[in-house]
Amino acid sequence: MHKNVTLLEVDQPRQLEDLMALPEVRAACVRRLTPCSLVLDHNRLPQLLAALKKHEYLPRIMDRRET
Amino acid sequence: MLSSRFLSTYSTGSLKTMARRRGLVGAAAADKKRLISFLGPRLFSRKANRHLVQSLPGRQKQLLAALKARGGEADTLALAASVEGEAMEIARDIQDLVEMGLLLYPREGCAYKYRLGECGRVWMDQTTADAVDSLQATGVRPKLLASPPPVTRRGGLGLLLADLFLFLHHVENRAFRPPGPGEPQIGEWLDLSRSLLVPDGMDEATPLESSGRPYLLYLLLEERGLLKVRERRLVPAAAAAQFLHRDTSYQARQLFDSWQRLTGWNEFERIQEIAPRPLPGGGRETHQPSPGRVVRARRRVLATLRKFDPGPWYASSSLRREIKSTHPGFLVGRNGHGTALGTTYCGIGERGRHETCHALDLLSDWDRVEGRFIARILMEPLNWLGVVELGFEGPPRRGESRVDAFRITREGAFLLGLSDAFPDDKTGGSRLRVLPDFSILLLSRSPDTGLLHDLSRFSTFTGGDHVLRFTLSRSSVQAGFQQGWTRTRMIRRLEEATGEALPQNIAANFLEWERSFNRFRICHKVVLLEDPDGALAKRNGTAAAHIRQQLGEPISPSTWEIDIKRLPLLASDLERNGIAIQCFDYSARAGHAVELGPGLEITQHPRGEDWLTTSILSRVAVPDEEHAGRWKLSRSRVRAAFKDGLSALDLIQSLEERSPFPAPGIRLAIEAWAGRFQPTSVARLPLFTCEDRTLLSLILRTPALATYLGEQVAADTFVITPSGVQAFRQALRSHGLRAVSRKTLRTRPVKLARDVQRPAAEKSGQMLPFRWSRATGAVSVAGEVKAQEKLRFLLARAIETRRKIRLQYYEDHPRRAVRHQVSPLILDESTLSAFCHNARSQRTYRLARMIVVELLPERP
Repeated sequence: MHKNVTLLEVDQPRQLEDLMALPEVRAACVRRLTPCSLVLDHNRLPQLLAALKKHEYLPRIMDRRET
Repeated sequence: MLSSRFLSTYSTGSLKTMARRRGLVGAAAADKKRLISFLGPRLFSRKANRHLVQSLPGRQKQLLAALKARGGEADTLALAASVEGEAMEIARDIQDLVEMGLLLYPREGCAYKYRLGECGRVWMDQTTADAVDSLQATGVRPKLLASPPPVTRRGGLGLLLADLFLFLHHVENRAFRPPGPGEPQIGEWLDLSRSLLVPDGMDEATPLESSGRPYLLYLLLEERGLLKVRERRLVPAAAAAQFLHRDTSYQARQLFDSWQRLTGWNEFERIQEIAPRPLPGGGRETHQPSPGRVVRARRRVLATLRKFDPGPWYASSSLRREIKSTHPGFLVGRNGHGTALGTTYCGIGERGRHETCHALDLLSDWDRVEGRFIARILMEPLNWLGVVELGFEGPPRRGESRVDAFRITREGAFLLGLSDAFPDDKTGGSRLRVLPDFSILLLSRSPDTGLLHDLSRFSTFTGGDHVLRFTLSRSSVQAGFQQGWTRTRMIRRLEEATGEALPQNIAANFLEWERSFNRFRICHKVVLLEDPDGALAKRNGTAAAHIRQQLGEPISPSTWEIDIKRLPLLASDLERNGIAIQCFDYSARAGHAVELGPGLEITQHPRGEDWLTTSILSRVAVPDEEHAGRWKLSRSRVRAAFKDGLSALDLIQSLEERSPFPAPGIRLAIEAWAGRFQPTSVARLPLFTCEDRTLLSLILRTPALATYLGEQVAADTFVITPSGVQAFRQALRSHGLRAVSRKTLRTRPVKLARDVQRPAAEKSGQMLPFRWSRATGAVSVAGEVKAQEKLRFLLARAIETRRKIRLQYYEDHPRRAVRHQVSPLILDESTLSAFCHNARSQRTYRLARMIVVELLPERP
């Protein structure tokens, strides 16, 4: 069981492919779960968010997964 | 009776003068008793004094009125300062009044007799005070202007509030250090000033004036607790948003009250015509008002201002005269006997040309000091806060503290307590425009700060002066979504402000941006259940089926996401069915998950089998096929990690925080593969040089490498024993390092150096000398050759290897020892020709004058 995991989710697999082109996303990627989601290294989240902002990708950030 | 006793304290000469002025014929021949009996009934007669006061000239009446306003007793100097006119004329008027017996000497504590008119303190009898009753205490009515002044300046509260928002917006988006006694922040303040609006008349302001407004804004915000310091940067406090959304009357009242309390803001120090002046005789007492005194003086000006009606234009001289007649010492005290600090202002003076400073007279220069202080208050805080509008006969000069006229505005009337109603003219909906090109225009210089704050949440402020501009973009709107704004709320806010529907393309883009925002999510605190071996899938029975039903659809073939509320129930179900769970919590600090070493090996413990540790290991190492849980650091994988944007430090930290012990070997290899490894030289000498200090320290901390390094001859250079060169090379290679032999070290000897006899030390394989000193006459490494030979050998070695030397040399003119860094070129019998790096020219040095020669590792 993995607790307090940080997940990145997108609607389309292609969107994730686009994101993986960014080195900051690759650096923060721990494991790719599905074509649309991957586990992130939460320690690298500030750098990741700064890079995403720079490239005008603004994700919705949720504190808890809505199930 | 009392009057007779009092008058007897006067000298006979004084009594004669007073009697003569009161009409006694033959006063010069009268004795003291007769003089007292004459003056007694007249000096203290209500009727006589009333007639006398009414016949006085205007200024003498003003003096009496001013004395009465001060309670009937005052210092002569303070009394003189309360009326306008030449100092000598005022002094003469006071003497006249004393001679007429309208002003009297102190009744008690008068240790000696004064010459008439020269006493430092005077008082008036009740009968005289009653005679003054019919006069106005101020003497003159406020002077109303017939028409508005030709030049007016309106500051406006709205402008200040807009600037308040811009200040907060600036510090929110840029790094802005709080002002302090440390390093200056001229650049930051200039940057801030440019982002603020420019009030009337500030175009021609001096740097001191233009920097004053942002500084006052900072002090007001700080006083109200709207700013806080986070990580040595100023940021808006949580209360700032609430403050910006309050109504204007509340904001105005709070700012006005804050300004009255400010001690950091000093209007007196902002008078540019006044400069500090050395105190005569090294005295300590100064007329420079303290911050507390300035605060009290500010309140006195406000109290006097309340006597004027809001609306009409008044000459500012009326305000000055009013304060001067009632409270002349409101800023600079004139207590005591008025002469304790002399007759000039101490510690301050009039700024003259060419850094000169002229003395200011306490009697006649009240307008230059206190008058300018009043003008500064009107010009800056009161004008900026919208309390007064200013008028000028002609445009004021740069830095001039002058106001010719003023009038109290409607906002000012409210703030001064002269009116109960605040003129609320907030920006209506019609003043905001949202254009189809995604720009928002605010057609007002005094907009609603709450609206400004809301707009800045989901649009980008792009500046403006008379029209404030914002731009809507995908990133700005999505930043608004991140802060909790919804599309509906944004549209409703804009439509409320404009009073009309948004352009269709903007509404459509809001929808599109919201959809794209929701398509990309980062979710924290997710709980996942992984079944890598399929233990759950293999298990049969109703209990296992029930658990699978609870888990629902997997998000990947062996991974389920768990609702955190159902986690305890699921955990107990799994335990009851004998399914052991290994739990990894990623918010907890990584413990001893791996063990680094020996060499480049890494061992992964079972507790370190979480996704994060495995991911880090797979980035830097390859698994050992034969031993489960063993990894070996891989150069290709480390380099691939670098390409993904991970730095050597990231990798090293990730590994070391999971290991109980640091591993210098692994650290060294990663550092070296990171490309921080500068060429390492194993010279023929044999020398080892490593210019990268971090790498060198790692090599020194690795025992397998440090053992080969011998004497340190420079900060980054070591001697290696000739027999150990190959072994050292191999040891470096085993740690992933490659030593580079520089071919430049193998160049042919320079022609003139060819004849130099090589010492036996080199031939025998002993360590070679790198430093020669005349003081010891020997090289630092023992050798049998003579001192001169050693020196020549060292210089020849420098020429051969093209290295610099540090030379301590004895010069004739002037006679002293100097240090040079030189690149030797030609060596002959008694001299060395070299390029001197200090003098940047070629020079010749005599060998006999060399004191110390040291071979340096660097080349020219």
